[in-house]
Amino acid sequence: MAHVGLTIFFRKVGVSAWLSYKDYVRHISYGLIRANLPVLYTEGFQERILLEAPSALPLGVSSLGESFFIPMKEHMNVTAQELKTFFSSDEAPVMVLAYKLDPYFSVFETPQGIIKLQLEKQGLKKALDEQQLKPWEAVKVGIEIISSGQTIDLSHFAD
Amino acid sequence: MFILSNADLYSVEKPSRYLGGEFNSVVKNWEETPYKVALLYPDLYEVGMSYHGLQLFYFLINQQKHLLAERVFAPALDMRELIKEKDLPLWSLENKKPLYSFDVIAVHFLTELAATNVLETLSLGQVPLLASERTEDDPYVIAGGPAISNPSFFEPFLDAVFIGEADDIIVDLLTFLAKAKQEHTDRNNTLSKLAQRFPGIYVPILRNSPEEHHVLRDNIFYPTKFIVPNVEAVQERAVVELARGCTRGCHFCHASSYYRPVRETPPQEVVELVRTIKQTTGFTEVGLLSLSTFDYSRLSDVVDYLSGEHLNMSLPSLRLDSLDTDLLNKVDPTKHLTLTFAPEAGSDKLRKKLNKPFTNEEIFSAVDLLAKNGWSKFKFYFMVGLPEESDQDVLDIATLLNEADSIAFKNNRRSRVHATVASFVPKPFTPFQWERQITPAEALEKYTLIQEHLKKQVDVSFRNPWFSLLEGVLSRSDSKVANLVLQAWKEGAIFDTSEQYGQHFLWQSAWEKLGLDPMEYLRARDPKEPLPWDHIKVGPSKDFLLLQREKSRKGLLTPDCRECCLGCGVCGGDLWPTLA
Repeated sequence: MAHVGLTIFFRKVGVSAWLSYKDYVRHISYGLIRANLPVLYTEGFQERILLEAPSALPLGVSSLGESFFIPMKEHMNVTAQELKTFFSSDEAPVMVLAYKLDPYFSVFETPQGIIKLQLEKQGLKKALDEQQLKPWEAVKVGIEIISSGQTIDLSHFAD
Repeated sequence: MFILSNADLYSVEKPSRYLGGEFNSVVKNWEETPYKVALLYPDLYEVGMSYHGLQLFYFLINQQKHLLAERVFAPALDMRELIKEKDLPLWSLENKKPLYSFDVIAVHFLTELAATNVLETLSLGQVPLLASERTEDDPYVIAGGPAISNPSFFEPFLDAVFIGEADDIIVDLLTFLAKAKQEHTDRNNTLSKLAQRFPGIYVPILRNSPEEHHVLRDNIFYPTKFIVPNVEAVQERAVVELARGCTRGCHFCHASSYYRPVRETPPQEVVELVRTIKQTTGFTEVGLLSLSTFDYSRLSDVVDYLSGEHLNMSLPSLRLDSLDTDLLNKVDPTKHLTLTFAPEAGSDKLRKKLNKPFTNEEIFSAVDLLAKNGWSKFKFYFMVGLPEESDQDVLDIATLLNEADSIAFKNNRRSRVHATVASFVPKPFTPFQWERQITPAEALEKYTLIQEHLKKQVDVSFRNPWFSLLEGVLSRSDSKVANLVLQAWKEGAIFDTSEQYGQHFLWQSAWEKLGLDPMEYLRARDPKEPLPWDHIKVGPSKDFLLLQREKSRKGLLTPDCRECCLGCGVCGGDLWPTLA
């Protein structure tokens, strides 16, 4: 049973844009194993990483924020920069949100300041919709935080 | 560098096959690296990326500062049309450089049926097809791999052939060529010196006598990472060579001759390699590569060490004389896998002539035991047209399958028995190299005989006998067959490895135009008759092969050479069977 999780936003640009949906998800799974994250596995003979992938993009279409929800065994503070080396340059993560899963929770900084979000299992979309926030506003600010080297300790925002 | 437009990429299937940029791929500076090698795998990207040897040489060569290795695959038919339409040369995946701009093209020949694909890729890469037409500015085309051990069918297109394993010699060989390039040594002179310096090199224009090169266990190169393919490979897994070579000596097996002697990797090293490869690739499926995995002396240790690490292990065919259900339970606790057996023949008598010692009774006991333990999917491999085979032997295949199905069903009502039946192809450098190969018409008769006597529950697929005919013609070819390959390619033959693409009417037309009779190549050869591959030394001596052939005829078994040296002539010096 997972109590913590990560939502990682990946870029799907360059060569990655030409990967099929199945191959893209496969690559992200491999990258997560390479990063040695405390991921959970499915049960059964063919064990696979437990993750929820975003809806498929058409082949050749680029995206700067494909969100993957990854339940984990234990809490881990990790940044997009740290994860970058485990993925090819095209599919590097641009933002990592770590949160407790019960309740689903995360923190964003938007132009209006830091806000708390209750997260659905699927990730951010529904929570953002309810608060009438544009996902890109949050993601863009997140990218800026990462590029400026600013870090936010998420633990004290979690209830 | 040239780049396809988005519109071009949209127009082809699986465009990421042609883009490179994979995780772990090595892109070196083209201008600053003095000597450049294209590793050409003459099949689709996802097939070539499954091949362990390609990745082995890729990382081995790229470790060297003065060398660069890049991959080139055969494009699918849609991309081939696009390349031709746009008049682009076939390019490498790393620096996107045309094939003709490399110094060496190293062709991986794993099956003779790839011959037309090699011509196609060279042609698309704008490399002159005939070695005699290449100039000082053209790359050297050097082939290697088990299917080119008799290179007669492809000699005019190759500058050189490497006979044997090249792990410990490839860097020296390329450095030698790089030096020749630096010194502006002319082409023929370079090839002549190459053959003198490296005994495993065969240069067709010199018609020299090469000797197969073997690698000592300590010199085998084990890659610690693999390129993670853009498109899921046919077999995408962390591959570790558990052992190279096999000592069973089945008389039909070419690999048994080519890869002698057995050299087992120590178990700690296997485990360490699996863990490292998982870390560097993310692969969770493990392929323990060997010709006979269940003969590996420390398999149980390896499986024990790797348990609980979220790894899925794939299993090759089971040896009935070393069946270990405890081990199988550890590898496949959910009883999910299909267990495969390769009895090859339906009767004990004929199987003994192949040097396979187990009986039908042992097969039935094994199926019974495994079905009782929960396994429900079984697969069998058979051949028809084996030397001294009778109709009864063929019927025995159906009888064996029917009985195996009944036993499996008795234990488990969900059980399924599958089988694949192919027509036997005699291979050079094996004890059966002199035997007759049956015609496609005879193979079809035998297939029908089996089909008529099978229970309908047993699912059997029959290999198209036309592919066996072509494989037989190419593998025991003489120099006339090279013209046939060229003519067939001109007629449009390509992807002969695949039943989906293979168009045998093109080959039919080619041999009619050249006045060649393919049946001539299926005939039995007299042991006193000179063979087209006699000048090449691969595997056991000819005397040993003749002795094995005699033993086969008398139904006498040859023991495993781990037990005692059989004097096949391969070992010597530091090269001996090396166990883990």
